[in-house]
Amino acid sequence: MKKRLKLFLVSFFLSAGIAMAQTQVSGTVISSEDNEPIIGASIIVEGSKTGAVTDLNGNFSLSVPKGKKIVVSYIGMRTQTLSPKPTMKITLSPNNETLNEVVVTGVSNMDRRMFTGATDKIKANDAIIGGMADISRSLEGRSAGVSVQNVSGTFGTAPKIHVRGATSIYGNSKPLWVVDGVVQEDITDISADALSSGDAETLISSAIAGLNSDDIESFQILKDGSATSIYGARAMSGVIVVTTKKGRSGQAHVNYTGEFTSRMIPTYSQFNILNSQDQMGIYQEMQDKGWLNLSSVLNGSDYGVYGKMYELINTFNPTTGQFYLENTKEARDAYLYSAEMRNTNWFEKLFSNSIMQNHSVSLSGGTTKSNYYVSMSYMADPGWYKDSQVQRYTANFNATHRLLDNLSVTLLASASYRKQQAPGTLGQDVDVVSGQVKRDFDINPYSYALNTSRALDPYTFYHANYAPFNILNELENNKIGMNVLNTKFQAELAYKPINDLRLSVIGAVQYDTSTQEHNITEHANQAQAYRAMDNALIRDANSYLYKDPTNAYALPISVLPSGGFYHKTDLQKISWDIRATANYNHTFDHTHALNVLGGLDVSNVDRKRTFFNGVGMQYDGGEIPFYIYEFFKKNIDDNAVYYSLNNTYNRTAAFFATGTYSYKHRYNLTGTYRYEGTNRLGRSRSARWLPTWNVSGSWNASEEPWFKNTFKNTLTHAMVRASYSLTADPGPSTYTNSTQILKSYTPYRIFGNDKESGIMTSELENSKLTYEKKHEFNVGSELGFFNNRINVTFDLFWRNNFDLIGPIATQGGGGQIVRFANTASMKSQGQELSIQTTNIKSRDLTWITNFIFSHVTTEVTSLMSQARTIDLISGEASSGFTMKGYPHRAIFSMPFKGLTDKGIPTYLNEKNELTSTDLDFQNRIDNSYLIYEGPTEPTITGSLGNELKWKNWRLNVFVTYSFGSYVRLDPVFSARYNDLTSMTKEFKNRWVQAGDELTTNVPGILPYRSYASNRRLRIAYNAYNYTSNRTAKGDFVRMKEISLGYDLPKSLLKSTPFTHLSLKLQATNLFLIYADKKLNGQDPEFVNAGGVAAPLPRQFTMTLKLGL
Amino acid sequence: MNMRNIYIYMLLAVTTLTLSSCDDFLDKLPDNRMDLNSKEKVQKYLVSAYPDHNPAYLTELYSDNADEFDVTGWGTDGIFQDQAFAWKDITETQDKESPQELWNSLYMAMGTANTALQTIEQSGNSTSSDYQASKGEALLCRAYAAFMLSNTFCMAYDATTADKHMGLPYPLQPETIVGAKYERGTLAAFYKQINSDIEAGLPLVTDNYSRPKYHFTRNAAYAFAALFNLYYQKYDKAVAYASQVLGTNASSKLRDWKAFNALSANGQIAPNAYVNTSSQANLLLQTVYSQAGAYLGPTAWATNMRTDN
Repeated sequence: MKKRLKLFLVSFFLSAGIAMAQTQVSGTVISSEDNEPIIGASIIVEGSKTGAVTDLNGNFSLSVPKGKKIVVSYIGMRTQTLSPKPTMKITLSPNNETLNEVVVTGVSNMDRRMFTGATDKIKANDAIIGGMADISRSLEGRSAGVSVQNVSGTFGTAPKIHVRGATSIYGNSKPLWVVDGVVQEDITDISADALSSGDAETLISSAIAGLNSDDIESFQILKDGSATSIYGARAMSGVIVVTTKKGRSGQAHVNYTGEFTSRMIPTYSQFNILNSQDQMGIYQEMQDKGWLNLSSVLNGSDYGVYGKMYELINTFNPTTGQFYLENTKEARDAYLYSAEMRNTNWFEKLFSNSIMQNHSVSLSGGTTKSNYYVSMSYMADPGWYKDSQVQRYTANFNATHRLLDNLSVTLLASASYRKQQAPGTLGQDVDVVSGQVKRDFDINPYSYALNTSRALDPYTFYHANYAPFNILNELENNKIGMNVLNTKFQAELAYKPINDLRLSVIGAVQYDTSTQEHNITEHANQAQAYRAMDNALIRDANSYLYKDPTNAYALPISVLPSGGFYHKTDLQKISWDIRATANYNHTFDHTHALNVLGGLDVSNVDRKRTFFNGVGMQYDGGEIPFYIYEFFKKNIDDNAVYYSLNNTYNRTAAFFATGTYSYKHRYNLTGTYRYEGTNRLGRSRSARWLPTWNVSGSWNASEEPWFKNTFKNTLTHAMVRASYSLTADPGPSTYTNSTQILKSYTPYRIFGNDKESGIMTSELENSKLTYEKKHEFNVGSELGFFNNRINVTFDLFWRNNFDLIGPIATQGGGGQIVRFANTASMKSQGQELSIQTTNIKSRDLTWITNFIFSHVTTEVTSLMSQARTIDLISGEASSGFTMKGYPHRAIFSMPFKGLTDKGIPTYLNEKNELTSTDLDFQNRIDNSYLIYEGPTEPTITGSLGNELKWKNWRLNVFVTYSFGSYVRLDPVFSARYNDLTSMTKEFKNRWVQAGDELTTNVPGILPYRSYASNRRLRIAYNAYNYTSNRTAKGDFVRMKEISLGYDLPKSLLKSTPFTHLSLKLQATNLFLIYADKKLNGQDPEFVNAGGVAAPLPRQFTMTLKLGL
Repeated sequence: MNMRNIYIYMLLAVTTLTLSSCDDFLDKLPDNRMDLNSKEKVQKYLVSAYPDHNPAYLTELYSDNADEFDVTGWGTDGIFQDQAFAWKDITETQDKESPQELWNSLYMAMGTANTALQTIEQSGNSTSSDYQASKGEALLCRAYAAFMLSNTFCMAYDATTADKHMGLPYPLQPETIVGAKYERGTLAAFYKQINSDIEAGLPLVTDNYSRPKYHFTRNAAYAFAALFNLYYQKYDKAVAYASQVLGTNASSKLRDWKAFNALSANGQIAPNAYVNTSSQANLLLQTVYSQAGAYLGPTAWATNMRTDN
């Protein structure tokens, strides 16, 4: 018994001892990012192979021998070694490769400490402005040196983005968009000036309109040569790298984001348009001066109130046996009085504040072996103004699978389909003799509301182009319908044969197509203008009718007796890209780090553009066309286009290598070299192939051993960098004469049977056509004070753009005296500063301020000017042009010298004579007499953002500012007005009688007699629109965004299936804190060019985010 | 180690392969521009080897045919008229009648002829009859444009002074770079080159055109040779070439003025008859951009032109 008890006790204590030597550890492992349990994390006993893995809830259970530690690890997270306790709650954080510490160049990911270039990273969460479907607009004011001018708010139009100013005089200066490592080319090559022209092609100018903002993780903007030289040509103007969201291992999420936006209708109080009473008063003066009498108005091409009145007087109503309006003074006065009191609010009629919605759902997740991200979105915009509906569907899919430990494959596919409507529009026309810029048949609701008299009735048919016109009817019958499809298929293979070497191949195929159908039905004014011949006078005056030139006695006939038009423009882009890289990354002795990358890439972009002018489409006649041969005869006589086909092929091949050496992460030296060739330039080796390179270095002072002791907590981070680079660009795509360009043509012959077709030289050969190039020197510094509570980054840069395409005078022995070649040059310089301060950081309250400032100036140093006067005072969409010694785009004015005693404006012309009409808008020789106003691109841009977080509330106030640019006020002055157009309040101060010229500068209404006896007076009035009186500063400070967000506390959500729920209310573009008073409501960023252009609206957005 | 070597060799092989095929890949033209790769295309191309500008109006203003009309309130129709009449430097280079536009047009015609000749040389079967005919036409076009240039921009030819007077550049190749430098040479050398082009082209020219009156037919070529030799002071040759054209029955080649004057004075009836291809007197017709017809024509046209549209 005693022996058995002893044995029992011994074994009991032994087992107890053994039990005590093994601790039972259980616990949960969660992720620090979102407090979600990590599935499949491994917990191993240190030094042994025993361990456990977390289950679906992140729980694990393990016995650990006494004195041993456990090692908790998971892929992508920092491994932790801990002492075991019976119950543990372990939080793992992502390892060093966090968003903040990696620079994503699109070609490789680089440790931020070793990166020597000027770059900015913007997290999508911080930047994306809700309710703005195109993400490129959200970049305004987010990065120093990146100026984003929202020249039009219509969906699909790209803002004018310049990274550190323009880099080419005739070319684009557009930055390169790279999405997930693949270059995203535009479907059509539109010049930067044309972006603000309002032409229908601008609707597809944005390369990334198909990307849903919810799918984007971050932007990385590469600004100086060291960052962009890896991309070679096309990246001369900066690179914006977009990274989309990827799934994370160990998690599974479902996210829903819903955005509901309402846009405010503009009101007349914002502008200075005359009300109907004041307007009728001016019409009365016009009638007194000989305008607006019955015969000239009724037989004229356009009329409004007065014309309608005369029409009613002139039209007999058979049912009542009387004319529609009695021709007595009382009846006429009563009619005019009703017009006077009308005060139509065009904005109410043409705009609506109906709600735009954007819904997106995404699924993401992953395991140790793979992760995925799938999303879909649907956007429905009923249209802020009539004929601007948009519907967009996007789908995005990407997945990465780790086949082996060192081999992974990534597949990515995205598609976006967009259906959009726009008001029917044709291209802009410049009458170079009179200086008038106009657009035929312009029915853009915004410019219509601003330019149309408030005395008109919205439901009455007035007259335009000799045919009946009513804006609501026209918007119903004259529309552009667009269908845009963007698709991308991408695959990447990454292999790590040895630990430090990473080989990867990435290939992508993109297909983009856009179809624009301009439907002009037979009921539209534009079609009926071709049939307008109410009487012999109109028949002879209507230029849309056709008079056979071979028959001296022919009468004008209509070439469109029935039906309307069907204009179809198709654009297609098919491109493929292959890039293979090898990246070697090794640290020797913990001291020397070497990162070498080499590779090659090949790309092929084929574009096709077709245009078809379908004449005589009977929309109400079963969509059957009806056409007569005379239409085609007129087309041939006018040399107009019946249909066209245009194919372009762009091919690029490049070899590149970059190497970075870093000593203890303190001293870094980077060199990049890229040898690139393109098919667009001459066939000679020196013209076609170009080496671009970059050398840069940086010093991470804060990694020095003595740093911490010297500065303690005052200065916690300091880095200085410098770089010098040569980058290039193939130049504007309109100059392609590396070989001679021949064209078919038909020389003019009087008699039809003498005609023969021939071939002519359209452009002489320039076998030495080569890249436009740029040298850039950048010096910058990053500093962090007080534990990085204050972060300051500033950069200084100097650029020398040379070999730019520009005109040059030659001996002309080949047949062209003025030819374009790589002869122009431009220089620019700038300073950039961004400051981020964390003013308050406590448990409940955080307040962060971001201030961004940049100043860039450009100057053309060598350019043989071929610009005409009209290009300098107006230019494409009022962006002006440039001359030697002036900024990249500048606007000039006619020298105004006051009014005559008849109220007619006078100027000093190029011969220094005082004149009203002897002005030559086509003068190319000497434009030094013009007055220089200033650049049309801002010199100072930036923003000020404040973010407050209190518990679960978030308040964000974001202000953008821009200074230094000049804009032209809307051209409202003319020698002759009709009763359709509206006038502005300046007219209240117009010259009325002799003597007024001493007190006012606003020209008066010209009497009809003066105009008829000297038609050149129209030059004097058109020129007034281009004087300093009609120029204002484009400076502004805009309250861009105020938003208030609330995240539901996690505690409330515990019992629900949701993991997070947040609500945000946002007001965008609320008001301009400061703008030049002269603008009188005109938006300084927006160019009111008509067509499809529209300003950015004031809008309110509610965003709902759910996560499951 | 072996595996690594294999990797290196594979890499080298791949790079050399890509380097050589890169240039082929990049040889594709960026758009569907035309190539002169057939006889028909060369023939069509020579349609544009005739200048489309004429110095008639410019030289009229320079001559004593233009008077100054001092009526107060009347001005010139543009700065160009002012400058041309007063023999000032013409800065209105964009005007259709300006020396710059004329120079461009004439040298473009020469350049077109040069490109055609180069294409024929490089075609490989330059001896084929079609190519020979085109070669003849190109040579004559080149000579013709050069002749027009010398009449406008050089001194009159006189055998005694010709090698002291300056000539003009006479390009024999199309221009392929921007800023090519040409030498002016002497007037004697210029005329010598025109002469050699004419002599080389005369035997090759045929009458084989779809629109013969707008091209150098045999008659037109000989007529031009006769005209040139008059200026060149080689009178015997001038007579010989003229006889080639006129043949034995000279009146069948000359304009029938009696029939012409009998035409109605209305509208365009008489002018159209004058320039008609059916007229026996018309050997070579040329359409040019010019307002000479409006400015120098009957008064009604002249005043109509001054109305602003």
